Amino acid sequence: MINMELCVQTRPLPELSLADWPTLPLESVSVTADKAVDDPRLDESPTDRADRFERDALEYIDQLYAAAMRITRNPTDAEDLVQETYARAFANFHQYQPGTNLKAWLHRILTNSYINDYRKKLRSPQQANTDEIEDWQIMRASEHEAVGLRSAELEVLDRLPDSRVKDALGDLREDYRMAVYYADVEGYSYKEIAEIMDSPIGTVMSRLHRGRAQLREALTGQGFEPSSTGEG
Amino acid sequence: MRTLFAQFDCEEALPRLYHFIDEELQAHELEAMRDHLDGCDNCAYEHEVRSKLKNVIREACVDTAPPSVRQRVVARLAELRQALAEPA
Repeated sequence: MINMELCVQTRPLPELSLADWPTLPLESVSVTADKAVDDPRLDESPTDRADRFERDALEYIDQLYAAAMRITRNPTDAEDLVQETYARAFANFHQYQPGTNLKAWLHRILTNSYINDYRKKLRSPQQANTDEIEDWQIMRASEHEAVGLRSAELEVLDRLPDSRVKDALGDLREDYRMAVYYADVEGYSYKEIAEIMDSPIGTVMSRLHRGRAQLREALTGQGFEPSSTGEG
Repeated sequence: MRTLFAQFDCEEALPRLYHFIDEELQAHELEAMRDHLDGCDNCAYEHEVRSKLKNVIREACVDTAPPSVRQRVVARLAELRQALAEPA
């Protein structure tokens, strides 16, 4: 499902077959909408393009591996996923629009690869994502009156070992986990995450909100659930 | 202009808190949010905890690809380039 509002196209979509890629278009994560500024694709040989890919895309291997580790929760799967991501990105590099965010484009391919066909082969068992995502509910101000033991919560956060944080993130539902990872670790905007996860922006906000509330609960034993009690 | 409006109350500030932390709050709401956080201990606390949680997650999840990953990727790309040069 492509949210068309987010895909501001400044040029016609490139020709490609559905066999190339299950979700279209891959063009333009985070459009900067400048028209064809020095577009190196215009007269570029396949070899030139391959060179440009290696020069520009390999730089992000750590960020892709880190995302793959959090998503698959297993170094072997992460390694396979990163390799597959680079192979697909290489094959589809003609669709990448220069001047847009290359790292986000690569993360989008990684996420798509994982969701669309990679998950089937996983070593780590995955939870089924069958729960309905409710609309993002506005938290009622009264909820925060329940907060107690304040400085204790901050102290707990200060002393958390990285391994506990990673484990707690790994325990989140997969779509919550990806949203939190992309927002907090990569610092992507809601709009970029919506494009990377191929989801409406409201769904992204809901996943983020719920994922963070669950993380806080897991890590500090505090915090409130986003209201799903039907009062919103 | 902004001073013509009251600052946010908690009902307005809390649902916008993640937007503020994630730098997604609309520019015209920033001042009202900052004013509210200056004057409200509850929301200021929420802001502190949620910001800290975000930082804790970011710092815990930085990872470096092992050399084997880079080697496999480079090897795979070399194969793909080969195929590009010699179409079957």
